[in-house]
Amino acid sequence: MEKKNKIFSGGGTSVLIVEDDEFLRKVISHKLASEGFKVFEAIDAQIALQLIKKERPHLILLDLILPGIDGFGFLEMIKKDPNLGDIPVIVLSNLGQKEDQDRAMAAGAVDYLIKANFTPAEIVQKVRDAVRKNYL
Amino acid sequence: MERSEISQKREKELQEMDRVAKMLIRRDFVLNETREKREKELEVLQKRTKELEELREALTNMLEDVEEARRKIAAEENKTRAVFISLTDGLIVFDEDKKVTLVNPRAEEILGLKERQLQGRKIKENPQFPVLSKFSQLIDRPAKWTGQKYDLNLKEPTGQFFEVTVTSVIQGKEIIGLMAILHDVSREKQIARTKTEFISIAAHQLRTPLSATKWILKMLLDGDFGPLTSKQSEFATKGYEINERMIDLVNDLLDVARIEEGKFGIEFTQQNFNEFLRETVDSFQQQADMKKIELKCNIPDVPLIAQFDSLKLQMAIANLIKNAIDYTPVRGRVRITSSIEGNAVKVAIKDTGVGIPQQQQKRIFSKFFRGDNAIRMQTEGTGLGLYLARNIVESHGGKIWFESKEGEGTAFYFTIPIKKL
Repeated sequence: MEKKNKIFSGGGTSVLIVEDDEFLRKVISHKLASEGFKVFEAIDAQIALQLIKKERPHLILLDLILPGIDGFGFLEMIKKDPNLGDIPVIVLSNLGQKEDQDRAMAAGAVDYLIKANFTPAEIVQKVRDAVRKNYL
Repeated sequence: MERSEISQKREKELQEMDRVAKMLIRRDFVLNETREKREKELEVLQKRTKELEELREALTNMLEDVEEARRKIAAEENKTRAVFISLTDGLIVFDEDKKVTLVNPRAEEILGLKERQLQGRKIKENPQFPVLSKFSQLIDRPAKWTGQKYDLNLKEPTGQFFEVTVTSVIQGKEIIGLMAILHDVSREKQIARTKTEFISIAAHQLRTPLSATKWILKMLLDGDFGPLTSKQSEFATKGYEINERMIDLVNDLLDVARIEEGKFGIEFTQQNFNEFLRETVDSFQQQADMKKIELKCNIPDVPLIAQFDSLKLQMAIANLIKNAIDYTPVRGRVRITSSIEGNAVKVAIKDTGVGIPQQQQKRIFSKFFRGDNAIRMQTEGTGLGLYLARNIVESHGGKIWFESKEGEGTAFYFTIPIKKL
């Protein structure tokens, strides 16, 4: 199972992390890379948009509180775009109120993870689950 | 002959005298009678006069009383009006046709108009005051007004919020009108906003460093940065556990804030309660084993379909079981039973633990409270577990209580009404 996932992700599964906290971004990026994912990093929505258009990642890990356009705005923006709307988005935020979760899921997120409640290994597993569900 | 003549004459004279005397006596008698009658009549007349005089006096007094009462009422009316005028809340009074009869100065200020512009007219007849249109929609509804409250944001750009209370004006048993009280709640709204902002800050600012610590310690422990020695692993594990408790505390604080905001929504779904309870208890087996505590379950092996929020109720039950295990010495017993009681399921969590000191039992459900002996036994603990448990049980319509004796043990009980779809 683990081997199969590695082959699958090593086959070029790419993840874009949109996260303004540098340390968190580096940690999760390191974990994903060590699990065989190709990782792109963006510190805000603007950079994220450029990267999406250029690299077309398989999945986006999205923080909600961001400088400039926030995660909700970014999510709504790409879900409205017919070329980008089908990229699965997992929200990874420390906002966790029901309204936030409902709003993100309504805007088209496939999962909602509160950072403090998940370990990097669990986050990677959620990413794998979402990729598998969306592409296989 | 002569003598007899004289005697006869005398006799006649005497007779005449007698007749006259009698007549005089009779006249005197009649006169007397008449006089007496007159006197009596006079007396009656005087009495009547006196009575009439008394009556007149009484009437005058009465008139004075009425006048006094009228003056008092007028003064009272002025006082009532003075009260209305001095009210720091806006007040609008309507008659039974919903025509305005009074607008106090505070209401004038809030609505930006004058009483005389509205008096005697219906609110919707004043299209020149757009500020009234919302108010009009509110008040023109055909409802039985018994003090219902509404939020009204009258001045959108300035963000002034009012709580409007509409109630009938009742005299005796008759509804004679309506009154609306406009209470400024802008400050409360501001505080609520600040609180929500604080929650968001607490969530983000506290959880972010906690997440970083969690992630990095977990990756160290998982060997992501190479193998650890047993000593390194032991300390990193301890650090990880402490960090997890901080995360739990933040989560609990957020839940408490939600409860206080009235936003701790319960989402009922229909489920098998007994199965849910058994699963919740089972998740504590490992923790009990570590302290060699006998965790016994006495839950009937029959489905018990009830409506509840499993996520929240799980949190409440977990808090109770965790307490039972934490505050029971090694090799003790924790027993969980469920039974049906009337229209509810009753759950008991009994332990052979340290118990709750008698003098602290009253405070056990209050926020941040921890028993003295509990603190001595286990330094960590937020003091929020039972507060949350009580709120969760009560928002399911249930009750929670306990029996405890220091040094012998504690039994917590709660009920959840069985609601069927």
